[in-house]
Amino acid sequence: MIDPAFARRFAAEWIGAWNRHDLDAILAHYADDFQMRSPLIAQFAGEPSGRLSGKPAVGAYWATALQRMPDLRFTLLDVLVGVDSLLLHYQGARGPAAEWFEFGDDGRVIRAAAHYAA
Amino acid sequence: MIAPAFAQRFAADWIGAWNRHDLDAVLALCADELELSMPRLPAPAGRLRGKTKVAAWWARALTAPSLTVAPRVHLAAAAALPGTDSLVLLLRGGRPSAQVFRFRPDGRVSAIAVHTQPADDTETLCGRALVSLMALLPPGV
Repeated sequence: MIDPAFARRFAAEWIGAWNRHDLDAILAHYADDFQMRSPLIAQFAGEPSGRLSGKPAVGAYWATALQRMPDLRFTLLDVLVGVDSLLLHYQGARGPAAEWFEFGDDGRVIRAAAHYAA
Repeated sequence: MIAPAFAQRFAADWIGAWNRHDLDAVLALCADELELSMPRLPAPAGRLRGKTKVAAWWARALTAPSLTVAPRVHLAAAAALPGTDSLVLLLRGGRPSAQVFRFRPDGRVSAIAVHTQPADDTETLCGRALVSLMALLPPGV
């Protein structure tokens, strides 16, 4: 079970890092070899599977996204905890979004998946 | 990729089946290797594996006579958000919660991860009903 205090702190720091467009602060939440899944990776990163792995690959993709959307700003709507994962419901650049996170023992994200309103 | 049309149809079928309290229709959407994880689920590591075990838990949730849980089981989807190979249903009709679905290639559900507001601010009807339900289950479920 994800600790509620950890969940709230993670949510505030993650949203804050994105809203500062601070890529280093964003990536600090993730393990070096984490896996990211997102329909937007398939759309914009030339990766039909929608999957990227590791900080260099995902970081490059996010850097491009931040450049493409200079007004990008997230508004946190809900922090929801599961047995071993966390779900953040937020208002993103394209409307409602839900980001799912799974954590390693050191509290860093090992797998994440983005979901967007179709 | 989860196609938007699939996501919308699945959400309508899933929520419709639950709101009819039609467990057979719910189970028809699920694969035999179904896995359910949920905070406060009375099972090792908050997890039930196998359609039969999950079905037994859901049947209790829908029929427990002393709890009048059944009338409360009404799901209203706020949104169905597709991902690459998972789907999030954001639910209202009670406290906000979300179900994250994984699918087999044939479109049946292989895993459901329920996410709820953190326990320390859920000491309400929902939390108490779940705790009471736990008392109804035989040991080892």
